[in-house]
Amino acid sequence: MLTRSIYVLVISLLILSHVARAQSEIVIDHLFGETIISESPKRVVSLGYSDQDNLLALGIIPIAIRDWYGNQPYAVWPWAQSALGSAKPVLLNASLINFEQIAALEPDLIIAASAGLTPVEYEKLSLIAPTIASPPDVPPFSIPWDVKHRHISEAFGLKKLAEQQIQDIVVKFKNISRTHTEFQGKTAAVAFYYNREPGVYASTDIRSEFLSNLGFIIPASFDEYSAGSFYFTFSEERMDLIDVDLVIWLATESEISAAITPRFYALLPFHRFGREFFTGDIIGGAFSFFSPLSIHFLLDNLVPSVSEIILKSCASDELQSCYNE
Amino acid sequence: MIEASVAKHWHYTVVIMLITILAIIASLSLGSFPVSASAIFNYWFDGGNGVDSATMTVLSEFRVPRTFAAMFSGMLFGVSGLMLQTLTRNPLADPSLIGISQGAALAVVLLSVAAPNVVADFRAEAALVGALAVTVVIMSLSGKDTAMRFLLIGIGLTAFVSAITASLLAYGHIYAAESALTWLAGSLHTTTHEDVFILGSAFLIIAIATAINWRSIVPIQLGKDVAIGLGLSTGFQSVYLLSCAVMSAAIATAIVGPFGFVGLIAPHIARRFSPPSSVNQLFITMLSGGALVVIADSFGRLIFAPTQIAAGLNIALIGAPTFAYLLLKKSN
Repeated sequence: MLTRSIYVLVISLLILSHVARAQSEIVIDHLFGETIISESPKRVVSLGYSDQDNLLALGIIPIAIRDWYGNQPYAVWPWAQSALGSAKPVLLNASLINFEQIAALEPDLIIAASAGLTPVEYEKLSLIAPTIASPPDVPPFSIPWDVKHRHISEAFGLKKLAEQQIQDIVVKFKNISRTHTEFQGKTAAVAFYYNREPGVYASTDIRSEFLSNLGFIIPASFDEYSAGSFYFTFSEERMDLIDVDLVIWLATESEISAAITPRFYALLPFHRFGREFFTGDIIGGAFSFFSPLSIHFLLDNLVPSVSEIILKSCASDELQSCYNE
Repeated sequence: MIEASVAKHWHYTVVIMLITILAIIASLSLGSFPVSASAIFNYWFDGGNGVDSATMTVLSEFRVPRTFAAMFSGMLFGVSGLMLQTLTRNPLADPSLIGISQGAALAVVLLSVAAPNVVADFRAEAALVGALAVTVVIMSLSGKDTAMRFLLIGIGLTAFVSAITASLLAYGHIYAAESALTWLAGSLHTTTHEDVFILGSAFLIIAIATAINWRSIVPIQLGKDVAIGLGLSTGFQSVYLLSCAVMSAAIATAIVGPFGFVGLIAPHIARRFSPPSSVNQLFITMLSGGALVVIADSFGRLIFAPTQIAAGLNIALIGAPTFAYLLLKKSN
């Protein structure tokens, strides 16, 4: 009886240790092949343009962050500041990768999911530490936000947490869409000025999808004019193209006032009837990052303002039907 | 009298050799990652005994390729500039004047916009083809003789090519354009051992090819009639030297990106410090070109470390004052 118990115990221990060993080694598939992470990473470098948001959402504080843009303290924007806490990561240059600087930091892991690495850059980084590039089978510069979050979470064995966070957002979208019936059926556009030309995003862009998930409709003409791309630009004369129920400008009010010819601007219906929302730099940044943390920020900050605009338009006689029956 | 001047020239040669060696040592020793002098010594002479693996990686994968790619590409640009200035009898000739940089840039940008998935693998080949294609067009348009016509057509065509490139960057898909722009600024920081091997071999071949034919340089510099009078087949010689000039600059551009200025300045440094049309002048041109790019690269990554300034910009920053200094010295 005793020997049998010992036998069972030994077998169980052997199985457990084997399972434990297998679990402690993680294999990640990415665009340039496979990376094996054999021990829990402590010193993580965030080399993707917006990877720090995903890491901070998962509770991982990177030792260095690539400072994409925006002059934010430690390259962490307001929606992720509380996750960063009092940590002071080193800032990495936005354009040129300084391999020596990264090597000097002695990292255990380099996350470069949204870095758009070239094969040579990946090879050089792999010599310094295990490197995770963008997910396989996805264009490196337009990774869907949920795919990116799951991909990064795999490196830390936190896939369950990532899945939970993604589901929370999906549910939140549904709830907002259900509550704000005034959004249903309204047309919307996410517009910008680029190279002194106005432009708007097609329905396939994440910013447009954000709006359509809330119940808005992106005009089909946008996709026609974009012809496969995710945006298109047009001459100022054709501002009628964006005469929709809600125009979200990715700029400040003063920037747009300065960009559009004043006399013309005064005549445009969406301006006259106050159907514009100006994101400014911070909300604009939240759109650019589009991470689990920034999406919450968008939903909490953008929705009330947009709702106010739609309801005010309804109050005037401009929009024909405000509430879907 | 003659002995004194020859001796003086040998002094200059030694000094420039020393400067070049010091530049290489500095480039290997300095950077964002701390590397000791003993580590470098061990790396070269002891196979890396007693050097920890992180330092070995930094030295062998980052510092050494970068330094020697800079050195060899600088030498190639310098030689190219010297031959062009000799052939066109114009001291302001530079590889970028005959479309090499622009042709390479156009090819890379075109590939980035048209086939963004494969651009990373074929960038160097595209740059080489583009550089040669534009040069061939310029050569065929300008006919066989006049150097002035060659330069003028070069200036016109390069402007045209640059305009096409700018349009592609403006209207192409934004991410493709961005990756092309990074290459245009110079890509010394991502050079590999393979790149160094290609550059080194190219340099060796060009150096030998140029040196063995050097005796024909003097007559060409004196003008076509004198050259014919001395019994030289100028057509063949010109084409030969021009091909060497074009190939050396095209290969260097393909690997490290378009660098202006090196081909312009290095020959002038050599002219100041060596007898004209001597092999010595060729030698000093090579060393000056190499040292210039190595110093510019080191400067770019140290001055605002850890922020790196692209090498192409630095060469202009360092080269312009150097050029001015040379011109001022000459007029005294």
